[in-house]
Amino acid sequence: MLETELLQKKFKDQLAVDGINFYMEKGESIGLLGPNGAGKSTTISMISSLIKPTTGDIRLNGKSVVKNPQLIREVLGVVPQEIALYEELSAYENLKFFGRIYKLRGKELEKKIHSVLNLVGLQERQKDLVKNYSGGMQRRINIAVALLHEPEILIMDEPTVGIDPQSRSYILDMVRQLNEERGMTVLYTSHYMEEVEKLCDRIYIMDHGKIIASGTKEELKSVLSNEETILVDMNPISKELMQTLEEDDEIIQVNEIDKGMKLIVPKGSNKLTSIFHQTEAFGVQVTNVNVQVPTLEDVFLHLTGRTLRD
Amino acid sequence: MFEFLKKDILILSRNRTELAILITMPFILIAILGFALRGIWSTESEAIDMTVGIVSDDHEQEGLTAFYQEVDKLELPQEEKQSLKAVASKTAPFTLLRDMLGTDEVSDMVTTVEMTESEAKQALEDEEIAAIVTLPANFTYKSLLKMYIDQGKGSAIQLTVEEKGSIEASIIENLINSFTENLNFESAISNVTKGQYQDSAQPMEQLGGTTTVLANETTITAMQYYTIGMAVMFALYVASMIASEAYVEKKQHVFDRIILSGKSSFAYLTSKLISTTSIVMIQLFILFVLSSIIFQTFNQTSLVFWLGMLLISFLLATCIGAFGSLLTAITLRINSYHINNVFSGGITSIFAFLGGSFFPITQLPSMIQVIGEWTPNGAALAAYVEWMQGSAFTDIISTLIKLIGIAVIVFMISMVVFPKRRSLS
Ligand SMILES: Nc1ncnc2c1ncn2[C@@H]1O[C@H](COP(=O)(O)OP(=O)(O)OP(=O)(O)O)[C@@H](O)[C@H]1O
Ligand SMILES: [Mg+2]
Repeated sequence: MLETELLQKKFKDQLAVDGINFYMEKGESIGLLGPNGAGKSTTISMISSLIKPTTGDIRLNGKSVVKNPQLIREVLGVVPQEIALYEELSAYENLKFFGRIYKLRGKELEKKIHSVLNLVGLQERQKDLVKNYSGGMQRRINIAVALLHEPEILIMDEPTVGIDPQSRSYILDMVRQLNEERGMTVLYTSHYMEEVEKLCDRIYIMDHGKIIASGTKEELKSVLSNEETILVDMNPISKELMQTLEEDDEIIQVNEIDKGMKLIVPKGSNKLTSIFHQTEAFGVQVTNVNVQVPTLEDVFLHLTGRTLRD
Repeated sequence: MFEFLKKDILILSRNRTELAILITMPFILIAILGFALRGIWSTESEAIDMTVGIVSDDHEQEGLTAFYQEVDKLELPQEEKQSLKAVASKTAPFTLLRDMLGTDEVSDMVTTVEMTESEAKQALEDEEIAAIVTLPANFTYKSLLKMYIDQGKGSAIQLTVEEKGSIEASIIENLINSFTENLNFESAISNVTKGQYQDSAQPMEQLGGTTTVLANETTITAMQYYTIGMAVMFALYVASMIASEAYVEKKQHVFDRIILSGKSSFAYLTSKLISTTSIVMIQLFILFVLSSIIFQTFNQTSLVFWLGMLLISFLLATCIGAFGSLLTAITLRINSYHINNVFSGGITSIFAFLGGSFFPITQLPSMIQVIGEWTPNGAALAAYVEWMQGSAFTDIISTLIKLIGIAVIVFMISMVVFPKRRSLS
């Protein structure tokens, strides 16, 4: 239904998006994953026709959107990364304004406002000014506005950033419901692996303006099917120890994490004994050890050598 | 478009600072300037406040008595004689002159002091008074004879001025001239209606009427002037407020949402024009009504007067609307709201000064006057003042066309400046 071809965006001499090929089928829910500055928002802005690609094309049902932005605007609902609302207006007044510019009128508009308020669970606070809302409530209204005109495609740019876990799981459930029950096509951007993992059929991973991996989560994880992750909590955290471990050819990656380090090793390599040897040699006390199957977080780490949020 | 207007009004109405700038501040300034400058202010552009000495060699009561005796000699029915006497007593010229000088409009400019001839000459020499109005002996008697019975040559008021051609001199000359013209007019009518003296109460009213028109032609009150001056100045702020709102819309990405809804950016720019225009109209309406209720600034009730005011206000509002969309265009173009601070902090004050919001621009060098007349507020102020002075519609038409011209040009510039986003397609 929607596809991009070698999409590229240059800001002055910075290449924010660098030749992206991506597609979405009707009814799919797609995750776009990447760290800060990866180029996710820029990609979304191009797809939604707000900025023009430097080169490349975007096609909706085979027709170029770059040449005719009106095509995509009609079917699109966009939840921007920022709270794009009038703070001095109430939620109801915001919805009414945006509904009217989408040419909704009278009873139909009231019905839709009622229904999206219900969906985001803010029926009771609709008369309050947006500026008096909590961050989570603002996020929910931000989403509600995008749903008002019942778009076929919903694009969400980090809709859960900076909010409490309760609001977050509420939003996730809502998006899943929209996708599964109403057949809405969803493009969901995030740097939270868990969200994308829970929500999306297929995932694109972006870094430095490029798509570095894509596929279903199983496909992505199979990249790491020959590896396992060992988490070691230690006291104190010794840089020298990690350096020594890194020189070991059989250890693929060593990363410092919160309470210790994270090691990626070939499956079945049984490195635990030699790791304990080293910790003892460096006089480091091991407080906890955990061997894990890989997560998408690990996939990202594997691909880029960095964590998603640093 | 209506939804944009509604949204802009809602947002503005929730911003106390902006409301204060649009309504409270101009209103306070109207009160302060209107009262403080009352009396030393007139359309003659310099504060006129002169004293005129009245020297009377006439004895009004004796003159009347003598006139009555002449009436008794006439061959007329007794009741007609009585009514003629009654009318004459009411229209004794000296009383009329005193009444005329005592009207609000005149007494704002002219203070009269009755004095003897020698006192008056001394005072004129010492420049304590600007002119001497001398009523010759038998003024009342001779005037009445001329007016009602058409006997004799009448009597001339004598005017002595200190400096021929000075503003003071010409004002008092004007006043006296139109007064005597009215007396003659009065006598002309009484001649035409000879024998029907009951009706001569009519011309007396006309005399009063003429005096009022005269006052209207030369005087608008300080309160009226500053109500207009402050209103047109503070109306300019609406433009920068609406453009600042556009900056917020851009920054908070609501602008993107509007574009995504399929609205063209041209429609967006037009919405700014409409919102600014409408808000200025509401603002002017509130200021004029408030000022009328509290200070009785405009007590005209004629529909034509208010239609004229409405038309001028509408054209001014449209002009400021065009500035609103120009500022919006610049704001979005340079992606910064600084232009709005420059406009509200600097340009507005300069416009207000040049346009005559603080004092009439006739006091400024003519180069600056020309510029002032091309500011939206200056042009509107000029049109309002002329209209309030009772000028004909044809007299203000060129100023109104100027306002339309400014609006069209500024709006076209705003369309050129507006960033040509792809969203225009
Ligand atoms: N208008 C712009 N002008 C110049 N550079 C820009 C502009 N917009 C984005 N960039 C740059 O492009 C790169 C990609 O930005 P983008 O906002 O797309 O990242 P993102 O993946 O959405 O990041 P985040 O997770 O922080 O939202 C960044 O380096 C950013 O600085
Ligand atoms: Mg982003």
